[in-house]
Amino acid sequence: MTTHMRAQPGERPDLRSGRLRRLMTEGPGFALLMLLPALLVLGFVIGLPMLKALILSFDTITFRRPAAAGTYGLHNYARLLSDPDAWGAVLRSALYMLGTVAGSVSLALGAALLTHRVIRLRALARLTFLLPWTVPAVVTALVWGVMYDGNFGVINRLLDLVPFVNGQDWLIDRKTALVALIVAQVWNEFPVAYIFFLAGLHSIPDELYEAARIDRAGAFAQFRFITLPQLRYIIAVIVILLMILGFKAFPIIFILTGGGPAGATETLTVLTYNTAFRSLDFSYSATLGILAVLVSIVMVLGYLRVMARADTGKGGAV
Amino acid sequence: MADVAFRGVEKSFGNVTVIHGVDIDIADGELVVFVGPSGCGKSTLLRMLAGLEENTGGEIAIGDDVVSGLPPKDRDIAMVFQNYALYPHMTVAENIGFPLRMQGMSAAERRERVVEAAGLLGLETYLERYPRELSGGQRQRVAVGRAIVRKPRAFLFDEPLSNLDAALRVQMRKEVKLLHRRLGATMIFVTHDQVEAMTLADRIVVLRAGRVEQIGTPDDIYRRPANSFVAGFIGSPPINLIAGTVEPRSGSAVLVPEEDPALAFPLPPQFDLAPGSRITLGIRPENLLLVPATAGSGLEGKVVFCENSGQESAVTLELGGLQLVASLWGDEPPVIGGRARLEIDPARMLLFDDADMRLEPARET
Amino acid sequence: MSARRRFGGAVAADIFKAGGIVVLGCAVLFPIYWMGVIALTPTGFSRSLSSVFPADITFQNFVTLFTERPMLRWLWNSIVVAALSSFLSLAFGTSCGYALSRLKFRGAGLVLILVLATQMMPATSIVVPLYILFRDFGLLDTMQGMVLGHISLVAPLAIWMAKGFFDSIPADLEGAARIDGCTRLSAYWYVALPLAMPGLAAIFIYGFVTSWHDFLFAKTLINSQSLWTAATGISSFRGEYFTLHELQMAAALTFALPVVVVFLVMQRRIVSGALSGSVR
Repeated sequence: MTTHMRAQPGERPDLRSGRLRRLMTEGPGFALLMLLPALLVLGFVIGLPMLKALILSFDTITFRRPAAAGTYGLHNYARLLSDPDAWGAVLRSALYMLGTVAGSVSLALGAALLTHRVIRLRALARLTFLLPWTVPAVVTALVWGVMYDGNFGVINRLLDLVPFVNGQDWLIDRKTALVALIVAQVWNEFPVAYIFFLAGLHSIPDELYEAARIDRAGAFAQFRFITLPQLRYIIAVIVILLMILGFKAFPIIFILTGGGPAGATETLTVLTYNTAFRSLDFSYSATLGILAVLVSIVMVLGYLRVMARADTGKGGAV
Repeated sequence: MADVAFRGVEKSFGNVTVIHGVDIDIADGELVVFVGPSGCGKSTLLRMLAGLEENTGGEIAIGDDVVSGLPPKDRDIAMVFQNYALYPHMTVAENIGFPLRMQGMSAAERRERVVEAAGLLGLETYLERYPRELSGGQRQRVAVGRAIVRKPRAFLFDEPLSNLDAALRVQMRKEVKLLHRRLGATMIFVTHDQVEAMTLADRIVVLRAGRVEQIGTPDDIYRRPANSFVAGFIGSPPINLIAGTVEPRSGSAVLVPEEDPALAFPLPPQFDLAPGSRITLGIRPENLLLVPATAGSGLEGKVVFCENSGQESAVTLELGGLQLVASLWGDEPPVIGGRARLEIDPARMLLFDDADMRLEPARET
Repeated sequence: MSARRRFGGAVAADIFKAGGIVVLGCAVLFPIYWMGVIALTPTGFSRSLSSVFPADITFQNFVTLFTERPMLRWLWNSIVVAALSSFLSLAFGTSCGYALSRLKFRGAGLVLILVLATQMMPATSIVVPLYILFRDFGLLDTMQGMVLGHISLVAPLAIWMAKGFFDSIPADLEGAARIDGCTRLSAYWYVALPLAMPGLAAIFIYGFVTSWHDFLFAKTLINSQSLWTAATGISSFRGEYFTLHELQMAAALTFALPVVVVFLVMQRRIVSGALSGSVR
């Protein structure tokens, strides 16, 4: 390649820097140079474990049999198909997702609608609704655990002030435990949706509302015919994002109930963990983990699809 | 300095071919302007010359070297970008000195060259500022400074003036021209603005849809356009194009327009035109003479529109089913809705045949 | 008349809105406030609080925390793990994000989807096989293992965010640099990287917070109390001091405070980072 070059001493940098160097700094070698470190690291900390999970799921590795049995089969998957605990966990994961999505979206949308036109104390108003997001899940769990306490918790103490309403042992009662966890989770994660909604509301041109007012649309009509349609892509993106977060949720549930009482809050993630580290059945846990990965892949594909549509569609501020 | 050649250059993205075998020879020290509507491939050609894109066919040569396949740094060219592409984290001096720094030149020598280039462009007092602290025109000058500091074999300009306001654009246009005269360097300038092309170029390359339509001096392009596209693209207000059929009338040939067969335009006699052949007649607005309706000659029509820019008025006249635009210099524009007549100078008519090639006169008058 | 009524309506709507913000805001802030109140109440006395305001204020709980429990040690472990895993993720992730943003290569889309997917799948699916692998490699109960585990959390995020930051830098700048004599590599080094610096700082902080917040990996990969991070440390208080709410809350507050402060300082940048499609 260098044979084409005209000799021009002092005018141009020396080109005899070698083919290897050229390869690494310019062409496909450069792409490799840039990608390889990350791919190696990801391969080690994510690729290898995923592969290991796959191998484990065909094996029978438990506390008593810590080494590979050497007889691989589909027994874990067969067990999964007929395991009421597993499908119960999937159902509870679904309920948990549904509850957190509904709660977070309505809370975030309400807060965003209330605050996005605020002028005085604007920063304070926004900070208020962002702050729970900065609280670690572990701390969220501890705080709500203290508030939910059946004997001394502030929630029951406040309820004592309301006539005819009795306090509950929120986290110990089968009927209330899952809802109580959902409330804590919503409190912790709704700011994510709030940020998106604020940005979305911000991106709606004022002219639309001015035009609507000239067309004599009331506040509700403006919300119904301008705000909601303009936000529809953001709402779609947020719903999927919150579903993913809800599906991943672990620390709040694990710390507050550990999956109890009597499995009433054992979602798929908690069951995966408990199967490995309480029942010490690593192979079956890996199988449950793979089921969770498959579910998330479906959600990620949905997310990408919605994102692509939000990019091409009008009014997508994401 | 060096000459530049495109030989059968092609570019495709997957199945889509955007440049179809382009041949252009640019002489050493020439200022050539690539012009065409957006999407014609003019910027792609420039970026392939720079090495920012690879040509997928043909070859590109700078001087005696075929540069296809070489990275940009080994092509020894300089480029000024549309958005200037100044490094935001470097001062003006660092921006201008960056190419020298990459050559490994010493700081002292670099400083000397930077100050010299800055002096040429009136930037001496801005050397320690950052690009964000400069006006559009100053940024433009820094981008030019970064190009000239290095004495490259060719300068490339990718629509560098299109982000400037009208007055500044005219001034910078002049400065580019002066710079070219002073450096005597090979320059390739891309623009979609035909006025920029006409005023700057030694030679113009008119492109459309990835193909060269015509290469020639501004005068060539304007007076002898290769086809009706070139004729229509260059000139403002644009040329009047009338498609129709040649018919014999009382011994000479006339053009009967498609849009209104009741009209007839006498055609100049020095062309050999077969009766019945389809041609397009082109006549520039300044070659249409507007005379009062009471005059005895010309085609009569109604004044429907008038755009007055002060020194010049573009008058739209309706003749039956046709609308023609005439330029009126100095005179007071006619009343809208009034009648007027058009006189056409046959010697200034451009004729294009069925295949859209310009017809040469068969004989002198 | 009607104009006045309409004006009155607007004021009423404003009052309604302001009232809504105050009520909702108080409800949302209450758990944080309550955490503070209990943390500052003498040990054992929060159960006898008669209102939502603190009665006696004391810092005794924090003293207990740092003298009788290895709180300082755990915080230090958290800082080391978070700083290392975030820095390493940044070091590997930046160039990968740049390649994904700028270079056209086969499989780029697949890499992006994989990166996104790994960020979005439940960490419990990774942590079980990782536990087995680390057991075989002797990485269980070590800081190195912990850092590696956190890289699996932070690196996808770093790659995804870095790509976003590089996308926002005009590609013509590197084009100009290459014409000015740079290779692709030196154009990245001299032009793209310095311009992405503020973004990289944001990624570092984001990664740091992610690692700081993590509970699952810390809980699973570490056994020895002396190697616990603050997250596992304070979560253990729920079992240990189940009825001693004051100590739990003091620990929780200590753990949450640094992140809240960072957030207050960098609010705008963190919010825009979240919007660029990289949340948690």
